[in-house]
Amino acid sequence: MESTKQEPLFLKLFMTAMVLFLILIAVQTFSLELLDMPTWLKVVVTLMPGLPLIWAFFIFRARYKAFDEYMKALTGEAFLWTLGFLCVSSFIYGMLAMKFPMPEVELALVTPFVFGSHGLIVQLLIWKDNE
Amino acid sequence: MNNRIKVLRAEQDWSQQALADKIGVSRQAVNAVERGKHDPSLQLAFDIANQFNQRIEDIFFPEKLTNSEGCE
Repeated sequence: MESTKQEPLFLKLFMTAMVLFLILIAVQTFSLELLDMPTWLKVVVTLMPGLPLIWAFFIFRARYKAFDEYMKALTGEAFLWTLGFLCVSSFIYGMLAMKFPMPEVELALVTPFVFGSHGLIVQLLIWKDNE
Repeated sequence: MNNRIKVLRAEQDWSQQALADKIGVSRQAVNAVERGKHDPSLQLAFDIANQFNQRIEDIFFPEKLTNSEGCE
């Protein structure tokens, strides 16, 4: 089965991207703390961890294309749920923030939230179809 | 859409995974089609029918037909 054969390769590439991401986070943190750099270089160093995330996106896209029609449908539905939840919760937060002092939310957490909740929802949808 | 995949699999003594491997989809896809949770594309329906050497209409039944004519 094509998608199953590609699964180990996907995991290897995805984990490589994540390790690279962690390394670049460490490089970013230490560089900004210890080195005296011009502003443009600080911007570059700060944005560097975004590169493996972009790579991870393309890895995920390649995996999606290898899915069969059922898994493609589930993936699409899971993204719809994730996007809906994200939009509704950010709208509620924004409405509340306009009227009340609200705790700060780190925007960098949106990406792990989206991918994490997407994976969880796919598993829930599979479980529901197996029920 | 209802179907006879489970019966046909049992006749061949194939697991869902075995059928999935033969037609190049995931076991979850076979399970979802078998249970009527996912309507297969025409291509997938042909692939399934070919594996059992049957015609599509001998395997898949519209729900209306199933209800009115008492098909499985």
